[in-house]
Amino acid sequence: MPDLLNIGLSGLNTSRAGLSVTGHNITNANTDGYTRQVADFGTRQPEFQGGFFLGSGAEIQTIRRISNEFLVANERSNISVYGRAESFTNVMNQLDQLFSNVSTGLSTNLSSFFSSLQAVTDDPTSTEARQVLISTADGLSEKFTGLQNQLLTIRADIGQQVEAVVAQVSGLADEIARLNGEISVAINNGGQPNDLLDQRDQALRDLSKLMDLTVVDLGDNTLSVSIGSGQPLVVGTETYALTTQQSSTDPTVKELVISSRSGSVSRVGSSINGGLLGGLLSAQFDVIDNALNNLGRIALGVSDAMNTAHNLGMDLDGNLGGNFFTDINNASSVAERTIAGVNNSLPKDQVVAVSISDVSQLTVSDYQLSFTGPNTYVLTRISDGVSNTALDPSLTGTLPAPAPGTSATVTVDGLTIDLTRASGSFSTGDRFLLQPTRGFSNDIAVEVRRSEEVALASPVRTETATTNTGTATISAGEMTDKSTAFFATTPGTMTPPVVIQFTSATTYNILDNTNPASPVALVPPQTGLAYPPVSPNGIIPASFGFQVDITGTPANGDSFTVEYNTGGVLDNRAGLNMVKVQTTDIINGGELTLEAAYGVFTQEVGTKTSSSRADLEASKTLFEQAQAQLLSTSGVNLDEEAATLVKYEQAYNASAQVIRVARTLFDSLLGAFR
Amino acid sequence: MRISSQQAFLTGLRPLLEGQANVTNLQEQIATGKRIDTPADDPIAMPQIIALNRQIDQLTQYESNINLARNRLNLEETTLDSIKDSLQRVRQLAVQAGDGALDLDSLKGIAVELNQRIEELLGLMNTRGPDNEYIFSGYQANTPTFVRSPGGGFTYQGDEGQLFIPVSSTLNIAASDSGKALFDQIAVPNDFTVDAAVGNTGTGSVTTSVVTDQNVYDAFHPDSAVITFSVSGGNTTYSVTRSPGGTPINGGVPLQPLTNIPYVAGEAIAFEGIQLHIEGAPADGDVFTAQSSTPQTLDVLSIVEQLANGLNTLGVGEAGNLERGELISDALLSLDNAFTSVNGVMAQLGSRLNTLDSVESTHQEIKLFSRSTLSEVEDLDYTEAISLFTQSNFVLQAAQQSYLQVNQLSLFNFLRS
Repeated sequence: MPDLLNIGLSGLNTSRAGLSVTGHNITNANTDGYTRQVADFGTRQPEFQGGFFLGSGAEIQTIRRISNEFLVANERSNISVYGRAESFTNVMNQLDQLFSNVSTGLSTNLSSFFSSLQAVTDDPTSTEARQVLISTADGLSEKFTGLQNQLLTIRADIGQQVEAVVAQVSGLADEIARLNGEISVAINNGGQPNDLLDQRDQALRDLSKLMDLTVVDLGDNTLSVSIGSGQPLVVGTETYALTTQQSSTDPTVKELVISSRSGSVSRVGSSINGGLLGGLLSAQFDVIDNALNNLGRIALGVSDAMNTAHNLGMDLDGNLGGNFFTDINNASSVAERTIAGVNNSLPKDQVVAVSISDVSQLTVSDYQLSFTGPNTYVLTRISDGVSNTALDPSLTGTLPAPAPGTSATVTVDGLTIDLTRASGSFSTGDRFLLQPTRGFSNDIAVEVRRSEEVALASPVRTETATTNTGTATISAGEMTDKSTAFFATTPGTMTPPVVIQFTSATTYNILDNTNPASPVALVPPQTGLAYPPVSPNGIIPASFGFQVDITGTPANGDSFTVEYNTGGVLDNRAGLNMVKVQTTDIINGGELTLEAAYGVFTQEVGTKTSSSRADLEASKTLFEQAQAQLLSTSGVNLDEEAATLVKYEQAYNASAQVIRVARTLFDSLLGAFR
Repeated sequence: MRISSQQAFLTGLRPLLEGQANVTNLQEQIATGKRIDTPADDPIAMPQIIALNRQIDQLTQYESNINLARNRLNLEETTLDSIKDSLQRVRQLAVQAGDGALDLDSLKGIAVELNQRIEELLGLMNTRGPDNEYIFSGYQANTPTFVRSPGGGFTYQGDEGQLFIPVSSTLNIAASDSGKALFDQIAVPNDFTVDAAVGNTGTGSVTTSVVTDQNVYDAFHPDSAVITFSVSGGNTTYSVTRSPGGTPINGGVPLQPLTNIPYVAGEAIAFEGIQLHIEGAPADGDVFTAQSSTPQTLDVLSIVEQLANGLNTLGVGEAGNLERGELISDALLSLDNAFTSVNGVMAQLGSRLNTLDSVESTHQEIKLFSRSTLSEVEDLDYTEAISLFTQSNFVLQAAQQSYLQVNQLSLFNFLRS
């Protein structure tokens, strides 16, 4: 017959164990990742006695974690999505602030620059207005540079965050591998290491906050963790190092690599989508780089359009206008547009020079140029992945076989790309990353320093001879090219000045008017030209670099002179052309004005920010639901534990009563013999 | 459903945090009065806000351009008014000088005042604008518009340039007028010169030649008249023919073809609005040609100067009176042309100023409209915002209260012994 004392004792033991488990639950109610435990009791092996099985008390069978692998995995994947949305939104919020309408944005500076340009055009002789123009232009270029720097700071900040995350990943991977080992040993020893399992789940949870994971149970109580497109991070007790290294295509950025067992490294950068890391990488490449390119394109637009107009002007000192802003194709800007691949063939004498020939055709994309043979290339626009003839019919993919040092030229999207290699042809595998618009917002500066240098006047003016008898009138004249011999020969003059003499109502000569008393023929002569009365009539050959328009009916002997606009200070014809820059559609294939281009860009930033905020909200809700589902199963309920506590306390007390009864029985038995 | 204690805590906490964020956001909107702070608040509206702000800035700029253009045009108009007043006085003086009763001293007195008027006119034509620029010099605003030429007369030193000021995206208004068109190219009445042919053998010479009737002469111009003398039997006669053409010209009183008219030395030969006197004895076949000049222009100052010089130098007597008469009538006609020129530009000024007014009022209307659109897009609807704020506040308070109450519930409270 089973010993009642023992039965009571087993009750005490099980109840005490139950109380311990409950106490453990209560004390860990607020421990992150804790999974509530339940003690499972069973009956002890009964004794067979007299044809009956007599129960022999209770025993602890297991102490179980109340967990659900599906819910755990579900929470993990939701954490990844949430983490990505969180880091991405973080970056977007910074951009959103940077490009908001008030003081930080570009629009105020663009607007005040064009206002002061108008003001100086209205009043070309005012030194004050000229100085205001230069200082607002400075303000504009500084704003470009400032925004560029802030974007680069955000980019560098992202880089640092990536490094920090990568360091955390290594720590967590090591911890998972260690726990894999300990759990495997513990289970082999016959126990269920609940708290270790909790710790491993928690490490996985932390890791999935950093990046998206694939977790596979290897069947030996260890897990494998792989990331990206299946690169292993943890297998059993082994880990693989995730590190950053300089990108082979763009040495200015770091890329993620994971070392394989054999020591070779593979890139995982673009395949990581989830977690903080996914959000950061996506923000860096899709958002910051795009913002830099957008900003650069607007800066190129401002510079190019203003320079074109300003170069055709004449300043207050009577000199031809130069560049107002930095030349868009200055040597250093051209140089920074190309990034040669780290592994390009030796000697590294390949020169890929990207100059901008048509700002209106520029896209905000970067381009990848890679050689598939000495004279064959693939030029790809990164934004949409289109390459060669699909990108532009002129991109045949084949360059003429060059003599060493000669260059071949390809043109696409407003770019003129010169390819030269001193030692001959390019080699298979040579790669170049082209960033045509990336850096210019940092390069733009105001070239005009003295207020007199603002070239508002036009260098040519026309005069009607006082003796004219016909009804013809001449326009004020305009400048089309300052590099012709007329203006390049002697600075500050027009060499020679010309006179347009009508030899009948329909014919005219253009003569050298150096000596107005007796004009002589130009070399080569321009005589017997036909006068087309339909305006604009292109009176002057296009090669002269200036043009006038004559309307009405001239009489034989009528003459008009065109000369250098010496002393022309109350002239704003070049200024009027500069003012037009504000309202001309010069960006994106001639669809957008500069300010509209900025508007569209801020809209893009705004849309991305608000959608990323919506994503954040949604992913947060999903994460909270997943968390709630898991907590609902695995979390500790203190009321429940209080009830359990009472239950086990009562059971303990009852078991103690069983022992008392056993003692009483024993006492009664002893007493019978007394 | 089973609820874990942590879950109960989080479920209670989340609405509190969200409620606080909501209330703070609304409070910020109410404080700034703006519905949109950054592009993300309403991405669609942001480019619209930028465009509207740009439009308002641009219109404000155009308004200031219009004011500047108006100031320039007003200065020009005032100056031209003074010039007209001065020319009016010159005209009065010219008319006064035409009074045959005046003696030479009085005429010289008039010349003195005319010279003063020249100084006044020169000053007005060399008027400078706010930046010290000569307003009538065209582009060459640093160059004085008119200067005296050495040896008499005046020279226009500017060019034909005109300053245009943009007053809307499509319209540039001329904000200046060149002195060349205004003052330098005044047509003076047609005139002629009488030349003795090189082969003349007689002693005949021309003493005076004047236009007596400008209208008649203008109709004849630009043809010339050829006076041919013939001496036959001691009688000297002359004939006047038209060149080109060679047809006889009518003249004299009564009007008759001037063919073989007896010549009287010093007697007037008059035809087609002109009159000339020939002295001496022309020989047979001697020819004098009244050659029409090509149309001439002169600057206003020189016109007045020539009048003053003429009044100073012309003497008395028939020839003097004839020439003075022509001088004064030429001056009056030239002055009329000057008035026409100035008046033409002033009419243009008036229409430009009217254009400025109408463009300005259009700008103001558009600006008002843009402002109200901008306000609709970016400004806060206070009624809505405040009712939302009240509601959010209420929700937050409710969440706080229920949180406290729910968290007080615990079985442990009852286990105390």
